[in-house]
Amino acid sequence: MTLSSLWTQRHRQDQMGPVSVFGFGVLIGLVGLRIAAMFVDSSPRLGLQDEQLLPAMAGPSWDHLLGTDQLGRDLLLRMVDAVEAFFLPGLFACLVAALIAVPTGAIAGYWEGSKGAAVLRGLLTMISAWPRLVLVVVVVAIFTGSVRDPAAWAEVRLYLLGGLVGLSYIPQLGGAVSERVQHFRREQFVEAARAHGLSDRRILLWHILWANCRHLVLRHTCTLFGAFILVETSLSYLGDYGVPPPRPSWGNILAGVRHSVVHSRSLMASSDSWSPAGLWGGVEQAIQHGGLLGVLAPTIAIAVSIAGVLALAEHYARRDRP
Amino acid sequence: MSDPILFTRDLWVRVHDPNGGGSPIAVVRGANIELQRGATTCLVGESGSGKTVLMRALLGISGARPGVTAGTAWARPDGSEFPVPLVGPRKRWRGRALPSLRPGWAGYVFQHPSHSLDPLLRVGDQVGASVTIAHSGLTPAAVKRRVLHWLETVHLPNPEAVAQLFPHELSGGMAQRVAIAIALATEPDLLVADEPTTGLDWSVRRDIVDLLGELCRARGMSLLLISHDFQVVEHIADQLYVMFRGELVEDGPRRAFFEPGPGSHPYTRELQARSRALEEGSSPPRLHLAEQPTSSGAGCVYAHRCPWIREPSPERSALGERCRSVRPPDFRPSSDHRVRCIAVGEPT
Repeated sequence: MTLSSLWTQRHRQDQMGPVSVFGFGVLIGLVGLRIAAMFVDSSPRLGLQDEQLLPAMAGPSWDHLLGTDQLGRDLLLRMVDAVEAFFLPGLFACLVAALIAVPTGAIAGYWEGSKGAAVLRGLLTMISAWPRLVLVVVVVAIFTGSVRDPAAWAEVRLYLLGGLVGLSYIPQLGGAVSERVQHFRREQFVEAARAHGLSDRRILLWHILWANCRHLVLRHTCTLFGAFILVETSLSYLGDYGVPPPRPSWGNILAGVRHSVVHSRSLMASSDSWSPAGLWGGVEQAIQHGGLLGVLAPTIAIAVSIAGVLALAEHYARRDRP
Repeated sequence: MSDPILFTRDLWVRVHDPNGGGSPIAVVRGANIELQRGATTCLVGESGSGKTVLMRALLGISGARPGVTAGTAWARPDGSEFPVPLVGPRKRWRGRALPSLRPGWAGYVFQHPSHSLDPLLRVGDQVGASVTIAHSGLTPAAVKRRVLHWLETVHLPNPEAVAQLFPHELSGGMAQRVAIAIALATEPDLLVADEPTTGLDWSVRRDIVDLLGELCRARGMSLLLISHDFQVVEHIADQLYVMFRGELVEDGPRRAFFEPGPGSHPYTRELQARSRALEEGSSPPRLHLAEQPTSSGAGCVYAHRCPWIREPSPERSALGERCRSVRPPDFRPSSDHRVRCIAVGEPT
């Protein structure tokens, strides 16, 4: 086999499958939306005097592609603006988890058997004993109760949420890293590197963490990012602990229009829903009424985003197998 | 004339009993080795004789515990006037091999080339890491130039393409050449090659051993070659040590082993016969593995397998009992040749 044929062979192995394409597509989409959100401000329409109030729950039109919500705000703008609620706090969660878990796991794995490693391992176990959602809700509740104007502190609360979700993910990531490091510590190439005089720091950082744990860490941070989207939107949907209105979040957009869902269901039921034409009429009415899109848009957005980052995690999991 | 780069004095290495027995088992018993500067020394013995354990213990590569329990080992790298302690039994020393030696003082070529390369790093980067051990503060371009130089030195075709490959894309022979390049790039005074030809086919074996010999001669580097095969070491060895069950049963210069002369240890003869048989394609002499060594303390380590005891010739018929009970003394057929055997020492 010639060298060039080996080259093409490797590139064939590295080709991206549909899962990877989907994952990266969603990632690029999210980044795009986050950038767009910087230029979008959807909230002032709440108590406006200077502009004409839009009809609430209006159907889609060329001016408002997704229609309006229950207070007459443009749904598309709010959907875009809502990316702000989880994007940077989600990255913050990943950062917190990676910055604490990777060194902890690496040290616990590499100097396995030493006292320091035992202490670190104990810490990881201790964190893992906390139930994630309860921890998040309790800490956020304490925080919200202790500031005078919770709405003004919303941004801080989101990052607090991110930090907490990141912390709660540390045992999982730290455990995975430490297991991997333990495995590679005994490999002959690590012994060879050590024998040749490469320092422990360099072996750990370069040979083990960079070369052999990179994809593992990326994979876990992608999963964590998806978990954070889920936590943020769930809490925002439930109210109180997530994004406080009037700031939009996919969760509270969904919560806001949920009453109209019931309404549009009754509209659908009133028409002759058994004939295809009647059914379509009901759906049309629901679309015209805004309710259906108000429900579908955040639901699909949440589902696609989480599926996308999990696809990215899968992409790295495939790369991870040595 | 004696200018050793590394020497040991009565070195004992013990490991914990894998079967959970109480006291650690001695796997190297009182080894005295001297590696002459610029010479090729070969350590020969069958699998499990303790060759690798000895080398690893000497050079501080993790593995055996409790490790060195008695004796000392010293190194005298190029340019140093006094020997530097490598390992010793004192607690202060243990696990602190190479305390004042420069990193990369010794280079290693391991048994399985594919295991001694990081599977997820490009070959060029791995050689580059060794280059930076020898020379810190090089620019990336300078490192790359040296990497290509070393890949060329080990006769890899098209070094630029090879540097971009990952280890799994290399053949066994190429991988071993890369491993040698990695060891050489630290510019060591001493190169240790532990069975570098295992897992390679016959034609490649010869190439690798020749390459090692040629490199060491060209650079004035000392070489310690560990092998189980006399055929492999035959044309490059300057000095040989034969090891059996942790004991160095014979050592001497090349002529003592490959030229007809006064006696050599029966174990050496067995190994040589085995190698010859393999090369000629005939079946090697059968091993009497069912025979267990009696006790580890007294007697010759080879007594349970020694053909001179199993099938004694008339003049040696009285030897068997003494071989099993008396520790054989060192016999010196010439000043630099040592054989630890009663029968060789008392020609009848």
